[in-house]
Amino acid sequence: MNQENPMTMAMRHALGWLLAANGVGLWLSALLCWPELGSAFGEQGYGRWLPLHLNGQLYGWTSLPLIAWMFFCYRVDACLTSSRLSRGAVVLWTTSLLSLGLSCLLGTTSGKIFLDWKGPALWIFLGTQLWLWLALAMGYRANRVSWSKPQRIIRVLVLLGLLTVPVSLWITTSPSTYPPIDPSTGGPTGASLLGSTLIVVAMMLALPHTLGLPATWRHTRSLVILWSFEMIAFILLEWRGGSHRDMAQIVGLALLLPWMILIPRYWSQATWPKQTKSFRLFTYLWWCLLVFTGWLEFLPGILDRMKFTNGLVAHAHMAMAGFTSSYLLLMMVMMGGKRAAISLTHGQRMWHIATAVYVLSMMLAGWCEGAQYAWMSESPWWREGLFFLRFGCGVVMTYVSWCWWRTFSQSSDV
Amino acid sequence: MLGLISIEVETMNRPSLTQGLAGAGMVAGIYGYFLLFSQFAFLEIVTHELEVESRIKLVLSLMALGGIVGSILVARRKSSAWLPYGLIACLIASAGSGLATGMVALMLLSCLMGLGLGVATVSLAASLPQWFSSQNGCWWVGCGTGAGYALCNVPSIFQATPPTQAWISCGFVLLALLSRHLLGPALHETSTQTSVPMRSATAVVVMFFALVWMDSGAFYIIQHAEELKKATWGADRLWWNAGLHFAAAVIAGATLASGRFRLLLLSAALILGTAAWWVNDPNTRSFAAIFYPIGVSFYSTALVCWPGLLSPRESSWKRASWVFALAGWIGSGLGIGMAENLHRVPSWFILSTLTLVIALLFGSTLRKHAGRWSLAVLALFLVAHEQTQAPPELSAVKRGKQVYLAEGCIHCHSQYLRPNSIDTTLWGKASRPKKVLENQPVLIGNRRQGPDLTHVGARRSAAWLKEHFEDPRALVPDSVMPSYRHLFTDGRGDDLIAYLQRDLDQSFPVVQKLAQDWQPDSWKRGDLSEGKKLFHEHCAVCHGNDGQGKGALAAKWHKAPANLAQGPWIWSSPREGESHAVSIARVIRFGIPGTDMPGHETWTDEQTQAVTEYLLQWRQPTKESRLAE
Repeated sequence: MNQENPMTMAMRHALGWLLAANGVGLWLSALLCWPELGSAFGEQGYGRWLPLHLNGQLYGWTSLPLIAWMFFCYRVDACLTSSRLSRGAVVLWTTSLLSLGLSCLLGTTSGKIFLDWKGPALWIFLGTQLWLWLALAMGYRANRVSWSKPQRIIRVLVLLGLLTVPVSLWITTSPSTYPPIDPSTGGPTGASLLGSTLIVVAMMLALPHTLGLPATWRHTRSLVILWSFEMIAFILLEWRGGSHRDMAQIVGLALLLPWMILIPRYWSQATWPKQTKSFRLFTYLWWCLLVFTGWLEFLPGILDRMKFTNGLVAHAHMAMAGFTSSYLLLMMVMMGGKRAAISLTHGQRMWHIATAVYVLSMMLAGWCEGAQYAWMSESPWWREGLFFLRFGCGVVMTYVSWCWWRTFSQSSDV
Repeated sequence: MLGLISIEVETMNRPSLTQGLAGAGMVAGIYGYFLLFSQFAFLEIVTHELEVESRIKLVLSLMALGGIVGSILVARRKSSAWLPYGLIACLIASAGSGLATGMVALMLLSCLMGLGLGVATVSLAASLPQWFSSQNGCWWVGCGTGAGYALCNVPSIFQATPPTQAWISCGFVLLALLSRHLLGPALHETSTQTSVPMRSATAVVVMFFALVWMDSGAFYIIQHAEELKKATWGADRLWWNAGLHFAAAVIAGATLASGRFRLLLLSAALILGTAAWWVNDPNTRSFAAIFYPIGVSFYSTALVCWPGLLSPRESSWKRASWVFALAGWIGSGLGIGMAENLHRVPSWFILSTLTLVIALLFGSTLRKHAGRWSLAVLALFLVAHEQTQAPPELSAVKRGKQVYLAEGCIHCHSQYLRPNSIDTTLWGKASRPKKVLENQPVLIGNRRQGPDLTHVGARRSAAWLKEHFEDPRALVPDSVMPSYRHLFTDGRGDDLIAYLQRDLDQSFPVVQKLAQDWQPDSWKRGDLSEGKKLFHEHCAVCHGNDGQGKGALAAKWHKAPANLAQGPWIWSSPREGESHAVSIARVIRFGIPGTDMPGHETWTDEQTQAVTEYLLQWRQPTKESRLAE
C-alpha cells in the first residue's frame, strides 16, 4: 500500500487547518454582525471560539508547513522508520490542536493568548513535540553520512534547539510568566517586536539555502553580522525596557527597516523555479508593508490611537493572512513541486485582494475607534459597514482556502 | 469510497416544456395536499371535532398506518396506473372532511387519506423516470417541490379556515390529476439513464428517516409555541417563507441534477440541525425561521428524486416504498412523539442525527482512517473527561476569575488603563504595570470590543452587571456582546460579578474622583434633538420615555429609577447656571457609584451636554426665573 509522503501530509493538514481556522474566523465575524447568533451555541460563545481561530492559524496553518520544511531538511522520507514516525507526528499534531480546540470550547484555558495550552491538551502537545523530535532525529541518523560536516553540525544544533521548545512551552504557558510590557500601552515593547521579527528574518535568509536552490551567494557574511548585531541590540533593549515614547525603542524597531530591501535582494541571487514568481512577489509586498507599517504604528500618537482597536487586528491580519500566508505558500510550492503550484495558484489573487480589503477596512475602523469610543455602545454606520465588509472578505478567504485544501488533497499522490 | 456510478442504458427523449411543467405540477399538487391538508387542515378538524387527545392520536395513527400500507401495496404492484386512484382517495378524504362528524367517520377518512397518499407518493417517485432523465427530472422536481411549499405559504391559503383549506386541497389533487393527464404515456417504459449517488439504499433510507424525524420534531415545536409560530409563520413572514422555499427547492433540484446528492443531503442535515437547535432558544428563533424552510426544501426535493430518478430502475419501487413508509410515515410519527414528550428537540438528538448522517455519507472514508484517528478520539475523550472534574474549592472572586478566563472575556475587554491617554478620562487613573504583572495570569488583553474593565465593579452595580450579562442589548442597544444568561443557572454569573467587583475599596475613590474632576472643555448648550434621541435609546429603558421612572427595566433595580419629570432638579432655576448643569452632566457621564445608576463614559462632551440639556428642559419655570426672563 502506498503511504503518503510525510511532507505532503503535513502540508495537507496545514491547508485543512487554514480552512478550519478561516471557518471559525468567519463565524466570529458573523457574530459581530449579528450578535444574537451568539446565543445559538449556548456556552460556546464568542470568547470561547476566538482561541480556535488564533490557534488554528498559528499552530495549524503556520506551524505545519514549517514542520514539513523540517521534514524536508532532515529527509525523513528517506527512511521507513522516520517516515512512519513523521506521519504519526502530523496526526499527533492535529490531535493536539483538536484537543486544544475542545479544551477552549469547554472553558479550560491558561488565559494567555496564543498560549492557551492547559490540562490534557498541554500534555498531548508536549508529547507530540517529543515525538516529532524523535522523527527528525531518526531522519538525521539515517541520512547523516550523505551530508557534509557543516551541514551535520547545523542539523545537530537545530535538533538541540528543538529540544528546548517543549520546555519553553511549559514555562511560557504558566500563568506566572509574562513578557516585559510597554508601560504606556500594556503591549509588547519595540524590542520584543524586533526580536520576534528577527527570527522571521533568519528563517527567510535560511529558506533558499535549505531548499538547495542554485545561487551565487554574495554578502551572506555581512547579513549574518548585521543580523547578529541587531540581535544584540534586541537583548540590550529588552533588558533596558521602555515605552513606545522612548527614542531607543523607536530606533530599535527601525533596525528592521533595512530588511525590507535586503531580503528581496538576497533572494534574488538564487535561481527560483518559474512557478514561484507570483508567490515571491506577494511575499515581498506583504513583507515590506508589514515591516514599514509595523514601525509606523509603533510611533507615539499613532500607537496611542490604534492600541486596543481593530487597527491592530488589521496589522495582525497583514502579518498572518498577508505575509505569513504568502511565505508559507511559497515554501509549499517549493517543497510540493508542480502539484502544490497547480493547487495553490488558483484563487491566489482573490486571497490577496480579500486580505488587502480586510486590512484596509479594519485599519480604517481602528482609526475611527481610537477617536470615538462611543462606537462600543452605538452603531455608527462605519462600524456596521466595515463589519459587513470584513464578513464578505472572510467569505472569500474561506472559499479560497477550501479550494486550496480540496485541490491539494485530491491531487495525485494522496 | 461511495462514488457516483453512471449507468447509461439508452439515450433519452427530452421531455417537452409542457411535460416538464406537468411533472412539476404533479409534485406540487401532491406536496401541497400533504402539507396543507394532512399536516394542517385535517389536524385542526380532528382536534376541533374530537378534543380528547387519545382519540386524536388514534385517528392520526390510522393515517400513518394507511400511508404505510398504501406505500407497500403499490410497491408490490409496481404500476404507475395506481397513481390516479391514490389521488382520488385523497380527493374524497378532503372533500368529505367537511361532512365527517364523529370518531368513526374521521377514522375512515384518515385511513383513506393515508392510503391515498401512500399510493400517490410512492407511485409518483417511482414512475418519474418514465418521463424524465435524472438530470432534467431533478430540476422539475425541485420546481414542483418549491411550488408546493410556496403555494401553501401564500397568506390567503395559509390563513384560510380549515374547511376552506380542505377545498383548496381538493384543488391540489385536481392539479396533480390534470398534470398526470398532460404528461401522457410513458416516454421510457423500460429504462433510462440513471445516476446512482450511493450504493447502499439502506444508508440513504436511514438518513432520510433521521432527517424526517428531526424535521417533524422541530415542526411540532414551532407549531406549539405561539411566539415561535409567529416568528416563523407570522403573517409578515409568509411571502418571505414562500420565496425561500421555492428558491431553496430549485437550488436543491439543480444540485441533484449536477450529481451532488451527498452535498445536498449534508447541507440539508446541517441546515436543518442548526434550525432545530435554534428553535429552542428565543434569541435565535429569527435565524431558525430562515434556516428551517431551506433545510426542509433541500431534503424534500431529494426525497422525491432519490427513489426513482437517482436509483436503478429495477429497485425504484422498493426504494420508494421504504423511503416513504419508513422514513416518511414512521419518522414523522417518532419526531412528533419526541417533541410532544420532551417539548424541545434535544441537542443530543441533533448531534446524534448529524453524526449519523455524516457517518453514512462518508463512512468508507472514515473507515479508511479509523486506525490513525482513533488516537485523536481518545485524546478528545481525555480532554472532555477532564472538564467534568469538579473545580477545587475557591473563593467567589477566584472562581469568578476562572469564569472570566473560561469565557474568554480577555478577547474583548482589557484590564489596563494607559497613562496620558483617553483611558484615564474615561475609566480612571492609569494602571500600575508592576501591580498588573503581579496577577496570575496577567489579563491585560489586546483588543477592546467593549470597555476596559479595570474599575468596572465600582462603575456598575451588581444588579446592573447581572442584567447586562443576561441581555446586553437591553441596556446597551447596539452592543455586540452576546448574552451570558446561562452563567446564572449555576452560580458562575454571580462569581464573575464578585470577581469584577473585587477591590471595591480601592476602585470607589478612583471612580468618585474621576467624576468630581470631570469638566467639559467648554460648556455649550447641547443639541436638544440629539439629547432626546440619546435619552430614548439609553435612558428610557429605566427612566421611561416620559422620564417618570417607569421604564421597562425599572423594576429590576434595588431602588426605583428617579422620576426625572418630578425629580431632583425640576425646581432648580436656570439662573443656577453652568455649575448646576455640569453636576447633572457628571451624573449622566459617570453615574452614581454605589447605586444602580450607570455612567455613559464613552459619550463625547457634546452628547453628554445634549442629554443634560434635554433633561433640564423639564425644569419648571419659577417665579424667580420668570422675573429673570
